[in-house]
Amino acid sequence: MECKRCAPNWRRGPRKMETKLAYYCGGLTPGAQPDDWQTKGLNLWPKAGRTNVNLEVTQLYDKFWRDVPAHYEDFLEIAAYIYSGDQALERVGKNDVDNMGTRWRRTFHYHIPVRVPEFWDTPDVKLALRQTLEFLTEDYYDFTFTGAAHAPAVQTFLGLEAATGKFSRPDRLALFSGGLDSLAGVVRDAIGEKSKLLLLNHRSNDKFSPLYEALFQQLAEKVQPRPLSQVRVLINKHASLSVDYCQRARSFLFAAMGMTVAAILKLDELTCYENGVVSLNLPLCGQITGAKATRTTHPRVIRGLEKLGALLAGKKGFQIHTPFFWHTKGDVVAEILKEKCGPLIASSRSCAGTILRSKVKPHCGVCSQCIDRRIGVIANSADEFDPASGYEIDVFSDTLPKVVDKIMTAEFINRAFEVETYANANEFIGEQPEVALALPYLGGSQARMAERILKLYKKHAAEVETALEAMQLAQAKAGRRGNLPADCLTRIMLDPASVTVLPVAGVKPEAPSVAPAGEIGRLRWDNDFNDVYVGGVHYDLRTRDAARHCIRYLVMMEAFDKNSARHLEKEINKHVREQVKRDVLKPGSDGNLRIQHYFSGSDKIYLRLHKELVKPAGRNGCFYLLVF
Amino acid sequence: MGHSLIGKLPRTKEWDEVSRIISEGADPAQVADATLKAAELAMAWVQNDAGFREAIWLLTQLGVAGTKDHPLTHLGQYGLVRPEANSVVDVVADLCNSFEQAMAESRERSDFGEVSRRALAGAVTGYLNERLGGMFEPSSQEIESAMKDIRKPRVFAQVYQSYVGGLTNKSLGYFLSRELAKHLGHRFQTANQKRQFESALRTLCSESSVVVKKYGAEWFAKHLKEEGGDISRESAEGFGWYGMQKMRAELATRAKKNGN
Repeated sequence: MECKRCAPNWRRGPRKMETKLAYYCGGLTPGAQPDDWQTKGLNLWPKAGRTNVNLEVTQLYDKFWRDVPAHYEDFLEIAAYIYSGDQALERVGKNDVDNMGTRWRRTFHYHIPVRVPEFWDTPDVKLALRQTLEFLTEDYYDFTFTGAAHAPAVQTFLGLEAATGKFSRPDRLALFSGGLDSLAGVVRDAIGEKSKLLLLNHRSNDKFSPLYEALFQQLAEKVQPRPLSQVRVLINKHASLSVDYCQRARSFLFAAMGMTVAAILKLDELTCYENGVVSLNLPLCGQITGAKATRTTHPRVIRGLEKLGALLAGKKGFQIHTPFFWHTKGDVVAEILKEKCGPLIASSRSCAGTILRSKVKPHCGVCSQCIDRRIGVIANSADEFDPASGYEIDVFSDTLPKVVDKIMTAEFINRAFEVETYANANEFIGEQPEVALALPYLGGSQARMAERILKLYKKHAAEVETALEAMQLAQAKAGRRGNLPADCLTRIMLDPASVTVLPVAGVKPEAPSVAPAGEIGRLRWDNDFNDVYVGGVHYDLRTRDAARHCIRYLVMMEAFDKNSARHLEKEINKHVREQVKRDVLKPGSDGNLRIQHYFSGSDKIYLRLHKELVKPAGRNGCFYLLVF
Repeated sequence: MGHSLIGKLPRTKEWDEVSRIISEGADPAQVADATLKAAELAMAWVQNDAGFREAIWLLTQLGVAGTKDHPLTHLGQYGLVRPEANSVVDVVADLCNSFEQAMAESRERSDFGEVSRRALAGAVTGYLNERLGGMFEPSSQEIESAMKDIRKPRVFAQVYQSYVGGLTNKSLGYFLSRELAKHLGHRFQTANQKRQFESALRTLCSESSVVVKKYGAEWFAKHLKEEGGDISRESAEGFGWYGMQKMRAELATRAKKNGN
């Protein structure tokens, strides 16, 4: 029998392995599918079987819904299905280096019952829907719309409230996420320009609702006596549909809701506040391709949504304004400070993660949004309104325990500095060709637009520089005292040895290197690991070379959990033997090496160090340091 | 909004080896070689990658367009570059968007395809910027003249060499950007040291790409003649793939030299 590992198809399967899924929505019965297709059901309609998607709209009154054209009701449902379907299938390519991300892209076929099939079957509508979604999510979409003569009215399951009192018609409808950009937009328009705004908020869970409500109340008080109203959309799904957390289709639902509310209010425009650096979201490093950098408010998506909006609205046309497109995050913060609304910053929330964050520290501190936020705030000297205590990790002074955090931090800064070196738009587009995808959608000459975007990114780079300068100054004392971890942002950006020349060829590998002093979790070391502290207890390893090199090696390899554990015989001992120039470990009676021999001797304190710090990763001969 | 998905390398013996040699201070040639060895599985499919095929075909079409009286009009007929393009940005942006359109239609996107597009944009910009970069905006005639020169095998080979070098460097960047930052605070005490290492990798790829220059010039002249003034997709694909193979061999040789 052929060995499974050696069988021809074990690792050499065909590359095209995207996941394909057909969604049957609104109680439609699944039809026959090719072998490589899966099927799933999505349902919003209570009378069409068990519902697994729920859409709830609060503070939108039932009397307004009466005039909503049926194709807008369809649109809202289509968007809700797309949003749910996007999360119901894992992007198995998230880390598939060996497939070069092929499986990041999925193929969906939605079968959706609609009230106005003649509208949704129009080639223009289908094309606009497909093109917008495919660029936004990098998935492939197909749609089959069938007539639903007995579709329930949307208001029967949206949970609309009965109208009480008078409703003041707003001048403008704006998407409001509760982040810094949308806060700045509301501050500028509702407080600065005294416009009457209706804010539309979308949430996928209620965890940070109190923080959001607090922010809304503070804003409402500031704009008094003019009214500030809001509509909140909550979508929740059955747990089995929450498989993927990338949520690339989220903004589509948000925009669909916006267009529908705009239609209710007889408005033909929508405002979306997002700074240009985030809207374009040029890749931070080589591994980020396509929609791995979100395209939520990318000009191409915005124009696609406008096209859909215009098709829905008929001849009237539809516009989505992005007034902050030529702003950086620093400009956005400046808008808030200009209206003396700095204290509101504390109630806004920018972090990408929700579920894992605590209410005391609502920001992780290491996602690109958090880093961008801190830089924008510090560059405007507004950190008193957004203290480091609100961040799980202070990227400027804390160690970065996860590899992805290190990558994010280093590459965020790296890109800013790299853009600074581009002499002109030609160089810019050559190095960052993703910018080309936005140029046809900005109007005007492509060369001029590229030049303008370069200027915007250079402004962003200047903000990064200003923030780093400020934080390096603030951390200078800690640095002089040796209290800054080797991999915090302040240290990696400022080091006396930073100017080195690495020749391209002809160099023998250098000796392994690790900072002579540092701290990770409960482990601290000094004097090149001659002094090691675990949970505050000091171990002098001057006479324990093998133990010293063992720990030093595991720190160097970042072996801090089972996944990163190192093999004793093949890796750890090989390294230790090279360093101490002798064989410390002798095979036991069973022929196996024992790591505790590095630590054994008359003084039992070292065995305690071994027991406290060095842990086996199962029975595979690998070990790691228990530092967290 | 504004989220970027960051990944790290898988835990396999080959990728662990890449990590190990970086931490031990290996030079760029050794790291490049080890990376390409570890990425063997990923690169095994490169020849069939729709994006890679499209990018190399677009590159050869620039050479073919150079043989016409009006290269931009010729490219415009195929929807590759608008005839009214009057700047370097216009030409590169149009090529990138035509690539995007082709990928949307084929439904065969991949990360390597995106990397290929970046390399194509880099190579074309590098050439046009060198020819036309200056204080003043180039005129349409100057752009046409620069495009016409790509018909010359020597000039075509220069763009091709830049493409292959860039593609190799960007492919390495695709993998190594998951690893290099991990060594901050250890192998790379500062972000600047990491940047210098990346810059050395870039120089290495650029220097190594010299191996494809002569081949590129000869291949282009031969196929232009044999195929009656045009170059088929099939020929272009084989051409691109062979160039990558030559680069791979050159990097392995350099790594061997440096390791001894």
